[in-house]
Amino acid sequence: MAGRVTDRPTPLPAGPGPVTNSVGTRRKLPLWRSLAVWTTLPVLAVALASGAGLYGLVHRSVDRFALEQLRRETEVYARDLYTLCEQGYDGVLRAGALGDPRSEAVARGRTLGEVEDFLRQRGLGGRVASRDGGAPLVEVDAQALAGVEIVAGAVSGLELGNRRYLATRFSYEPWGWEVTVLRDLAEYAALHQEVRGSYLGVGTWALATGLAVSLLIGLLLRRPVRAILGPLAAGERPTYRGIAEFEHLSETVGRIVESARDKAKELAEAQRLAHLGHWRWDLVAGTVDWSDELLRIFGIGPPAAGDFSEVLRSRVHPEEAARVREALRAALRGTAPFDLAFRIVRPDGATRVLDCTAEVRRAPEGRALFMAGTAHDVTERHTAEAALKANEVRFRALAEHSEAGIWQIDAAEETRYVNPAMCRMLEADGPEEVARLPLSAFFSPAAVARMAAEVPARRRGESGTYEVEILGRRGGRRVAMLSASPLLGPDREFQGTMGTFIETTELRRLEAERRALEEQVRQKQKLESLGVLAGGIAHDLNNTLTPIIGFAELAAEDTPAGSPNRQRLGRVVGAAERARDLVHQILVFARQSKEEARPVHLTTEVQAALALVRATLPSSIRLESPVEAEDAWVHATPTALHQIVTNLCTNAGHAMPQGGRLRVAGTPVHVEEGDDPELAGGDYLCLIVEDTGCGIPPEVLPRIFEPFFTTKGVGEGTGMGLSVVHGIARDLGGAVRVESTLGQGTRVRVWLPRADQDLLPLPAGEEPTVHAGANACILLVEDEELLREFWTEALTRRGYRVEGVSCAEEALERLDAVPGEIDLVITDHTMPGMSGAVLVERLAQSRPALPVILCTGFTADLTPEKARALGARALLHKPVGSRELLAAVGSALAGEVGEHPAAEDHPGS
Amino acid sequence: MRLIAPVAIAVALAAAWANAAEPVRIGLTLSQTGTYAPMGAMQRRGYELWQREVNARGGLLGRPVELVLHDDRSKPEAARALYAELIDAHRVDLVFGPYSSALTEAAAEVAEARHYPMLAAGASAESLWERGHRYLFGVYTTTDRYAVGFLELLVGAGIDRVGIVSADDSFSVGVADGAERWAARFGVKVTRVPPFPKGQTDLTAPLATARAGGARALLVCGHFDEAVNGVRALEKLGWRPEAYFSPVGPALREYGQRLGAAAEGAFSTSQWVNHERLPLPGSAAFHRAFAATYGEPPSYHAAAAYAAGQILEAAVARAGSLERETLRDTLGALNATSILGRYGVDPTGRQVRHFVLTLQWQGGKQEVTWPDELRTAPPRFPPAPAR
Repeated sequence: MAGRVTDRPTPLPAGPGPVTNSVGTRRKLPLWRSLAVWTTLPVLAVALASGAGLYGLVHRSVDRFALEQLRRETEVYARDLYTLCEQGYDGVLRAGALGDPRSEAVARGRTLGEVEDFLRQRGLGGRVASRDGGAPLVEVDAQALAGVEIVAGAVSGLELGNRRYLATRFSYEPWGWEVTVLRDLAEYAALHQEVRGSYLGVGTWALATGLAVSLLIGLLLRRPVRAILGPLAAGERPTYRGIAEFEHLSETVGRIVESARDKAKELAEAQRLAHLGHWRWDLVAGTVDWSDELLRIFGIGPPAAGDFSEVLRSRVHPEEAARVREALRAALRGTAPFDLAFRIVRPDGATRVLDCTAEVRRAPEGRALFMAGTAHDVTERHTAEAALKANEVRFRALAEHSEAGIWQIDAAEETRYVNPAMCRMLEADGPEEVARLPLSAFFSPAAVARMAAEVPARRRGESGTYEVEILGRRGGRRVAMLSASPLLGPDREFQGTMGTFIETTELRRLEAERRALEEQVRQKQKLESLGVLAGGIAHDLNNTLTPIIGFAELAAEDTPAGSPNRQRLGRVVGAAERARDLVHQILVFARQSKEEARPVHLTTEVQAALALVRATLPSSIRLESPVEAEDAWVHATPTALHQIVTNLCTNAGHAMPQGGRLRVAGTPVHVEEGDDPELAGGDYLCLIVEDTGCGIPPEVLPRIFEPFFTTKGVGEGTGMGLSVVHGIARDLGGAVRVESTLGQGTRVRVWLPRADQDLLPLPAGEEPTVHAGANACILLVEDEELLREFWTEALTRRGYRVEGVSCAEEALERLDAVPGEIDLVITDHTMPGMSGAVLVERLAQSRPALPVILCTGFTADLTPEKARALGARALLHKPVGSRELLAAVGSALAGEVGEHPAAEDHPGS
Repeated sequence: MRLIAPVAIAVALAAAWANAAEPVRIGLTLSQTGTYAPMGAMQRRGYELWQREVNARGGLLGRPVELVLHDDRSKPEAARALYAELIDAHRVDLVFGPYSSALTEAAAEVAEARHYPMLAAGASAESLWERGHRYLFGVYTTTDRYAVGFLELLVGAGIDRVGIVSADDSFSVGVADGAERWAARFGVKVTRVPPFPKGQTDLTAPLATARAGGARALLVCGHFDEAVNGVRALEKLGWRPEAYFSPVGPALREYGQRLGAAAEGAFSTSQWVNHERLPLPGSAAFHRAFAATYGEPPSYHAAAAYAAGQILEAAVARAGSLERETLRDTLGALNATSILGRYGVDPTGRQVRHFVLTLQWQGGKQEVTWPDELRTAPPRFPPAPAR
């Protein structure tokens, strides 16, 4: 104890009453606990015990001995009395008076007197009675004997009244006497008294001696005891020399003191290291002991410690003083244990956090004796805990606010933690519900099975990521990516699993869309490449068909009318034109460039599409296409219409594997504004595609427009058909409606807005004016020799001069060679070297006045608008017939700028 | 201790020396007036004679004896008060008893309470020793033995029927009771008459009763007056029994002087008689000294008083101390001989060694008729009167 201060028993920090501050004095031990008393008491006890035993023994021996003596004496008395009687009787006999009644009477009387004297002199009682009866002849102190029968010949003890006697009896026959001798044992009682008295004397003496001896021993022991206790009280090591046992004790105690000192040092050291101080507040003496460490914690020294109240008052943090005071009072009252953490302020201003625990010890009747406790400086731990807590809050916030679902289960597969995102994902009311319900309540059977299958991997310490389907409690379906990682303990033992669920529903949708787009692109590319191929083929075919038609026409011109050859040539031209139409169809189909919606004739385009579709349908399907609306102009593109028809008819075909009827029809519809949620008010043409197929199940019906949703087997379809149709219709400002009856068929209706009447193309006019040659010079640029030859002949026949070159470079040279001679340039587009378009561009720059007609067999990248922009007067699509050519040339030369309608839109006859 | 011992011894010695000059004061009362005055006067002389002689011998343990004597007027109450005064006020060292059983009883109570040993030289009632007194020691043979000798003489004379009449005082009743008890031992038949009040002078009625019972001999138990009145009553009745006995009266000389010829033949009992045939040591010397001092022969009462002094002297010598407890124990165990005869008491203090003599007036003088060994004359029994 480093600090010891005294305090009143009621020194609550703000408690009333004066507070003294003095050094505690040594306690005065009560006398009864002194060494002398403790050495005396056993002696006393032993003396009393052994004395009592000894007394009992002596008393008994004396008693027995005395009684025996008295008994014998009584016997002797009886014999003596008998002798007395004998002497009386003998006296009469010797006097020769036996038989003389007077003498005998005298002798008897004298003898009786002698007997009485004998009894009296010896203090005996007795009686002589005549056998003949009558009053007793002698009676000494024997009144009590009346009626008591005494055994003859033996000494017996008897109790009469409250006195004890020995009694004996004998008969004296000669005179017929019964003599009784009675011995009062009062004498014997006196003996007892004597023994007791003696014993008391001896006992007192022995006791006094014993006490004196023990007192002496106590006094003797006092010196060594003081020699040992004195230094001990001062905390010193006792060094007593003298009585061997005490010397040994002194050494032993010395060693213990040393050891205790070491222990105290160790304790102080331990307290210092642990920042743990202790204190003990003696409520009776009012002293407070402070351990060194406690003083250090408070930052005060023993002299500055002051009294307990003062230290508490001045050192407890002002904000905590009331709380500490209340806790102390409660502890003293016994209503609550003293266990609280509070802050103190050291004299140097530093704030420390203390964790205080204390107990109040009480006397059996409940009075508080002292309060002892520890004070632990937990400032560092407190700081660390605060940081830890902040950290925990941060990480908890991360988990709580994470959009990813987090689900932690322990090794027993009990749920330990579920974050709100997880609950939201599972549509659970809270973590409790999640923990309570089985996995199957939240996940699809496949997901549950997968999770179960993954458990061994977790237990092996492996992570895994896979997708699961979540069946929300409120019916929502979600797809989530589950990253499950094992939670491993310090020794890599499995402690549970943490699952992170990232919802991928939207991702999946986007992916599907992306895939659809990809598919579309792929389709497009496929079609593009097909288009390029078809274009190439069409180009070549057109190049081939152009001279066929041309030359056949030329030959027909040269053949007289009505000649069978002219008729035959006409057939050739007809067949070649059909071939040309076919090529055109292919080109339309393959056309991939983004077309702007424009008025398109629905019937024409649908018929064209059906012409292609029909070939793909089984012959068991009857195609009806009563589409005959004259005024069937819609705002669309031919391609879109083709795609709509193609897709819908393909689906219908698939729905009717056993054959059936496919009907394609169109009907005008007027929609008032607000009538339909999807359609704006206006006029529409409704394209109807009906089949008599298997129909669509009702549950599937809502999903049919989803990309890639398909009920068909792998390889049968892409799942894009209706989606594409829907997309096209929407893009065009229309809508798609599907009605289906399972087993009876499906009807798809596609609303398409009608085209603006003003935008309709002019109806095909009369035969174009074929201008006479007028001697104009035309530079023909064509790499195909046959075509060059044909065109040259056709133009030359109309009076034009034609100069043919095989490439653009040559054309440019020729123009430079003969400046001003050339009135018109006709050029092919696709040529080796410089393309026709480039040439047109050059010429438009160098010779803007020179009209140029551009021909192309493949319109993938050239549109009439583009051609005009380049500077061309007209764009001709191969195969170009001589009529068309001449018309275009005539127009060009006449200065008309425009597109020859015939060159763009074939009515497809 | 080394210093204290010699000092203590010196002080003790000094005290002893100082005490040696101090007289031993012995207190007692005697009846100088009243019923017992004659006996009291005799006793006083006996005590004073002993005092003179013992002081001449050097006193008790070297200290002179001083008697502090008061007159109890023959009254027990007076005796009781006086003994208390003697002990409490006069602070006497020792006491002697008064005369008569009744007064001794009163005095014994006082002495007993104060642990003063008391030699009773004037009391013979048996009842005194039946009360558990520890400090009372008898000198006289007790009353029960008074008539033994007379009865034995009756047996020898073949008289087998007696009448017993007594006054109602303790002495008289004690004598009567003893006589009756001994009569049974000797095989003599008894006619016991209820006691008459002490002081009654006309005894004709009780005597007539005894006579009616067929008594051949008569015992009138009482003191001097009763003995005389008994004779007078016999004369009135005209009855002459074969033997007449009274315990005290006929033992005194006044008996003969009072009755003259009528005293002839009366038997009595005496504790002591000075007689040439009874050579008790010191007895003759006492008789001479008494007669020389007082001009008349001593009665047994005087002898008893003198003997009490002798016994006390012997006890003090034996004990070597005047300490009362020591003296008590010594008196209880003492075996001594005085002019009266033997001294020895039983544990109750009753005298058992001394014996009485039976006297008979023969020819105007007292003769010892019993015991046989000491008799001075054979008993005389007048012939049975003709009826």
